[in-house]
Amino acid sequence: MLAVEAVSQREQVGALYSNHHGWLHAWLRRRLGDGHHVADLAHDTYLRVIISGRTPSEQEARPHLLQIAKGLVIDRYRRQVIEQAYLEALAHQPEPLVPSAEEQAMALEALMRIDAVLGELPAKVRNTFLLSQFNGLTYSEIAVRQGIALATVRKYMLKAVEACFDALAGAAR
Amino acid sequence: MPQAALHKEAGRCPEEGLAAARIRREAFEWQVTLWSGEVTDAEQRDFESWLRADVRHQAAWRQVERVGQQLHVVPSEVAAPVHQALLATRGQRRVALRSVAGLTVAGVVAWMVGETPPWQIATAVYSTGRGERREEVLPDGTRITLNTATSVDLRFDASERRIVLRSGEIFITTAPDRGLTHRPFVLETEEGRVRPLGTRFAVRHLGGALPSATLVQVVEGAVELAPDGGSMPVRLDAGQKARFTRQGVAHVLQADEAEAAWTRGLLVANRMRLSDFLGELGRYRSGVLRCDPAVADLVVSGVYPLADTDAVLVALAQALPLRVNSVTRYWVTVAAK
Repeated sequence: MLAVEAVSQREQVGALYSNHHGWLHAWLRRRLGDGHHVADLAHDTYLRVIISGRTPSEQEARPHLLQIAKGLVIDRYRRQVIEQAYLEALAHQPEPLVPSAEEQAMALEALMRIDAVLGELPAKVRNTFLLSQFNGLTYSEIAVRQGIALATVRKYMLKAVEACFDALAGAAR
Repeated sequence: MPQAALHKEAGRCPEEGLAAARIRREAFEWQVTLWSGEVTDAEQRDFESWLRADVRHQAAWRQVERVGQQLHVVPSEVAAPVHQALLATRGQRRVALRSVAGLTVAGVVAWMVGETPPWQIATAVYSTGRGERREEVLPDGTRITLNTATSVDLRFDASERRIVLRSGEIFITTAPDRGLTHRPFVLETEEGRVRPLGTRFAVRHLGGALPSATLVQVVEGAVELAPDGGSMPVRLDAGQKARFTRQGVAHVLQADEAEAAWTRGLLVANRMRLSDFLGELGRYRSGVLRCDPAVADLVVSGVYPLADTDAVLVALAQALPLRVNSVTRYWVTVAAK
């Protein structure tokens, strides 16, 4: 996102803003109630449009804004759910575990990324992968527990490994 | 010789692409095998000889391994219950829009019912250099974002949660204290105190101003401003901003949402005077950034990434009739073309 583009894009985004911001704000408020960062979400929606460098035509403006806004709401919601689960997990450790604020932020980022990968996997694959990676079960134990063949466990794991790689290899650097 | 090179070049793309895909696939399969929890000695030996056989195998394996490490940034004993809990909520993605209500703060402090655990009592110093930005989650769930060249002290004890802003700018999203005793939250500057009433707000210390001042902008909720001089506290609501010195609070103004864009690494200029814009940009750079008075009143609009202020200057010079003169990276003057 270079400033030049932002400048040349200015009028288009300006029109998008003046014609639809009130409507978007009202839509979000209707769905989410007052508060709940409605103004923020509306603002972030426009920021996404600016950053994407693609301003929708007048006809597709509202569907486009709505699509972005819904994505943002879901992201935010998912983040809260993950954060809650993480803090509860921390709180329930037998040994008190006190990660620094930095470690917590990193952990949350990691959990978000993994959650996104898992979300794309079929339920059986996901469960197999979770049992193996986070519950420490061997493939034989998973096969028994899930009532599937050992070869199927391996097949599911391969699928999960591929998905993780596709999603996370970029972030690994 | 050139012919041979050409020949080799021509053959490279499809074949080597296929080979790379095959090797990656093999690396995935080895990962699956090694994660079985029941690796045999024979498998281990086969894996090692596969690895030794080709440097490309080693390169592919390093990548796969790195992804594996990312999966385990969070220790399993924590990750397992998290993902378990998330499984139950997975179907809820679709209803997210309806059920966000009520979740906003519940997540932050679910376990804090009961006494204040000892580890919640904390003191710390957080700071950032020029151009740096840093986000922290405090022990009570409060989130702070430090802007460029900022220093804060954190003093949480049994009776209060206090943040002292020494210099720079901070954005705070408070979380309610769910301990048995509700500990009040207070942000302190040289000029006085800011008491949030469940909120998101930004505070900037203007040390260079005379007299020094504190600038507060409220995004959500409300805060109370209490200058040290003892004047009456002033309440500031969402969408408002005000500047105060030790002597008192200057008039309350409408806040511009763009001012908090730095929390997202952006500088949003909405018909800003060039000299103001450069003053703002200069906060994120080391050294001097001067604006020639001849161009001070040019108008700048746009969204600019704070991560690379040099690139912003280049872009600016392309968009406006400007010239950027750099004596060194630390002495830059913006003048007319």
